[in-house]
Amino acid sequence: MKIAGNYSFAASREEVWAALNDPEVLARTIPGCQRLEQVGENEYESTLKIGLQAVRGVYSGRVKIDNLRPPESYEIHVDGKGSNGFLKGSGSILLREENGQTILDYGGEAHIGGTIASVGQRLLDGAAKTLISQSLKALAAQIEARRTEAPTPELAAATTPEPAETPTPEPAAATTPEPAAATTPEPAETPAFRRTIQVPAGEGLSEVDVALGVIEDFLKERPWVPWVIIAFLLGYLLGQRR
Amino acid sequence: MTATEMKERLVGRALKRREDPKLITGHGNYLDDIKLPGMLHIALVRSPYAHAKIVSIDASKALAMPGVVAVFTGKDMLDINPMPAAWQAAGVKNYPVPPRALAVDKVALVGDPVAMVVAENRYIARDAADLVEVEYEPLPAVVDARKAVEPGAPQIHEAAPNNIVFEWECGNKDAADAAIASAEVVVKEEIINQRLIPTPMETRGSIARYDPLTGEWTVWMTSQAPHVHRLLLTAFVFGVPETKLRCIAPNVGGGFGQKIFCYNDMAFTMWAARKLGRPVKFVEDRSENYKYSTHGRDHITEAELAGTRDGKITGLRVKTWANIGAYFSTVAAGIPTTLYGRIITGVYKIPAAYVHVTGAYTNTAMVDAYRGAGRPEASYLIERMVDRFAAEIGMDPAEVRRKNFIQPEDFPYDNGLGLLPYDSGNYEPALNKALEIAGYAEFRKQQEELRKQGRYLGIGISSYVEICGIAPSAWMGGQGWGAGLWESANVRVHLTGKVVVTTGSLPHGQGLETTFAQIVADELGVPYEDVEIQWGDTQGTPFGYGTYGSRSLAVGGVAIKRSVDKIKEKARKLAAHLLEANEADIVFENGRAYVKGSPDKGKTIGELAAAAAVAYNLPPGMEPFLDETSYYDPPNCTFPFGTHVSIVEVDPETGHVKLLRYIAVDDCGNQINPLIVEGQIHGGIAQGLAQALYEGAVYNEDGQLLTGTLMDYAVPTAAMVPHIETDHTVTPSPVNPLGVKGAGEAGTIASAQCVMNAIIDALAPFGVKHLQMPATPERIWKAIHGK
Repeated sequence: MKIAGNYSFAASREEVWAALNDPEVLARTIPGCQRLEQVGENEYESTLKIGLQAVRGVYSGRVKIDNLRPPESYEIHVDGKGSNGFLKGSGSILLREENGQTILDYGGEAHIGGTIASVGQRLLDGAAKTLISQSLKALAAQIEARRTEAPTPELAAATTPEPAETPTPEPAAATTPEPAAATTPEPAETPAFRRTIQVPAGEGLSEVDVALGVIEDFLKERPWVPWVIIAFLLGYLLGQRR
Repeated sequence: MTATEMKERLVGRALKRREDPKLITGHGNYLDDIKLPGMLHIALVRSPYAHAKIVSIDASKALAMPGVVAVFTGKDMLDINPMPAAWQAAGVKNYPVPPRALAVDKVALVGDPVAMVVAENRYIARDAADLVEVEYEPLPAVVDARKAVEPGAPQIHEAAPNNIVFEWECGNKDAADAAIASAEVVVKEEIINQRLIPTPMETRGSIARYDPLTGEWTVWMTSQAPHVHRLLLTAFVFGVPETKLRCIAPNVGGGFGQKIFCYNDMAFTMWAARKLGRPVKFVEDRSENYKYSTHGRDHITEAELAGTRDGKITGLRVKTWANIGAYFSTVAAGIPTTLYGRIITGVYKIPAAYVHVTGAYTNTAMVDAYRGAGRPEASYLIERMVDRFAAEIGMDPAEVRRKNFIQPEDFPYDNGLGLLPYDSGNYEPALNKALEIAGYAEFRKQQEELRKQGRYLGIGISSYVEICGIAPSAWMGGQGWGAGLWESANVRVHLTGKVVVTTGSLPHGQGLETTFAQIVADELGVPYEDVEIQWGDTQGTPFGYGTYGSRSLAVGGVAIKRSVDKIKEKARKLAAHLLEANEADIVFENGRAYVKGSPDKGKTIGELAAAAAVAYNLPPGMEPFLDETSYYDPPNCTFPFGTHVSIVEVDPETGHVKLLRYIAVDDCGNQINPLIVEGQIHGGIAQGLAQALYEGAVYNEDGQLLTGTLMDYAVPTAAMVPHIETDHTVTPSPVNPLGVKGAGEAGTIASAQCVMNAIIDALAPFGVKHLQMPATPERIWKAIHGK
């Protein structure tokens, strides 16, 4: 499956770049993200709870960013799996400024397998578009929030229950964890860069947020729709009374 | 005719199927209806990758779940052998890699089972299967048969270099090459016979029960051939005496070939039942059936047909890549070889023909027999090529067919491709009849008129011949088939005069209970209601090869007739003894044996059965009871034929096809029950026209099945099938005493090309010469617009 598109932010390129590189922000903009764990420089592990219509599930995955060219572009590699299948993809993100706005161009290719491919493939294109656009919308909101609240380190501290302060780096343990150990990392072996971001309930981009976002966008583009529905209902009710 | 009341013959009458009231009112007993005390349920952990190494399997979380009894992997089952490769391509080296009960070390298709969870109920098993963590190392995949055998393609099995299962040929290569090199006209086309999913209404499954005290299993299975499965599972997979296994096929909800084969679930349910000491059940869901149970067709073919300007066909050269799928299914290699290549010239006398077939492993579901099995692919190919040739030389396609038909005096006809001789046929009357019903000449005029108005109608002709009544064992032995193909029947007349027939044939939609009872009632002269047909249980039926290849009447039905003949013979001897007459003077007619010339002096079959059973007064040396068994091995296959004609209208704006008429004139020899014949023809046509218009299994390049549900795979509904006008000619088969040929697959074999020829005829003004199936509106629109 090929993915491509763009999104405009009312922010400077540097602001968008900074947000894109802040795990705290990412954790709140990746759909269904419950937990984001930094396991290396520009490498994250996360748990996502997402539903593609009938195919819902919990996926665990690894995200790696490389070829960074601040504040212009990077490449992103995603490798995730869950009970309903797997996703493996890579793509690039490119930022350019135009008329005082920052435009984010994204493109990439994803390989999807398992039930999500065989049962959900009809829905995948639409679902991917929805998830990406809602995710970028959430990112725009985060950028806006950073501006007004002023970026502080408190945010990170407040939402990071396990501050990674143990100064004994052991990268081997982080890259090849035992299957059981992956879900319950032992604090003693946590390397310096390791930290866990738990997304508190209500702050992340949940399935409900995605659905509401879709409705919101839909209505924004077609503001007449509610009036049609109201008119229809009114007509129906009046018709019933005869 | 005698003075005794003439019983009305049942053979030839359109009786309603006696099995239907039970089946259509929900009183059938299908596999999933069976519940045994203490029964456990299996859910499989299946690979999401088309090709990958299994790095690790961690079942700890699944095992911790309450209600989970055990989790097993392929490595636990190394004490049993892989599934057998029963039919290999004849005369050449085969590289069979059949599947194991569960995959070991690597997976080769999406849906390949890597572990099984056994739990107290199905819900727990499914939930626990989701908790089994499997780590894979993905490998590159290949799904296209032609690409799979190219150098540099991903290698699927070490034991099969270059993914080649076999390279097989038939016919005369030099003659075909020469005919094509020297021909006035050569037409060449790439013809793709797309992959289809059989889609029986009931998915597959098995239930196994093991008795540790006797070491005996009972396995209930969705099977078209329980005796064969019993043999394969004991002798080849488990290495135990076949007496240790009883196989039972209960009501089977459609098969279309998919239930002929020996599947891994039969083996792993047996293995788990023995291991755990409790009965276990496995039933596929629909998407598991789509991913893992066998598919059909999937040929890529380069075909060249040579001929003269005046319409004589002089040569045919065919090169086919047959997709076998990820593993070698039970009879996979026989389908694109013997049942395809050897009948490639169809109803035509083609002096030089040559077929080369490469069987290839790919990272897709296994491909094996599907309704028609090889013959639809052959018939589609030749009928498309003949139409293509007719268009090239500007001759009427019906005329080209007439010019090249094998003539009635040519039978028995040897087509030179290593097949047994065609038994009998008269192809032109069937063609003429179909064209007459269609109003062919009239239609051509109308077509011309309508084209001027911008309406595009087309007519398609399909004249087919197929191979049924499969098959003489001696011949099949030379075709790489690892067993015989005779059929058995036992007939007993109980002392109350009721007749019980047990047979190795078994119905899964063919109405055999009705057809067989009609034959027995007529032959023995007993009431139809007094004949019971029993089948499906290896304990209580004689060994037989099962139901497929339209063989149950032409082989199984004849075995029944022969048993009845033996009963009649014995009854006559007994009657002669009881009536104190000469055996030569005894006539057996209408269920009664009497002395020639004095019909009032006689004994009914019921009286004779009672006399034989009580045995108070038997001729010297005669054993008690009227009980006879026959094992019938036919001397030849049968070759049903016919012509189908369809009329379509194509909307040039949208590419939508409307099937206006469908006419089927079939010759399946004598018809025992015309209503059942018609039903079989209808069902077959629905499947064939669905191939032309709707169906197609699609894998993406990664080997993911994109048509994994009934929402994505277009099985036709009743509304998508037009009214079918049926008629027939009757050319009795000289091969068997019933004169029957078989009708179960004819509709499927004839119909796909019939519809495609009509569509391409409709599109002729746009210069369209060929289209691949399914002819979706998109494809047609693109063809019209040259895209």
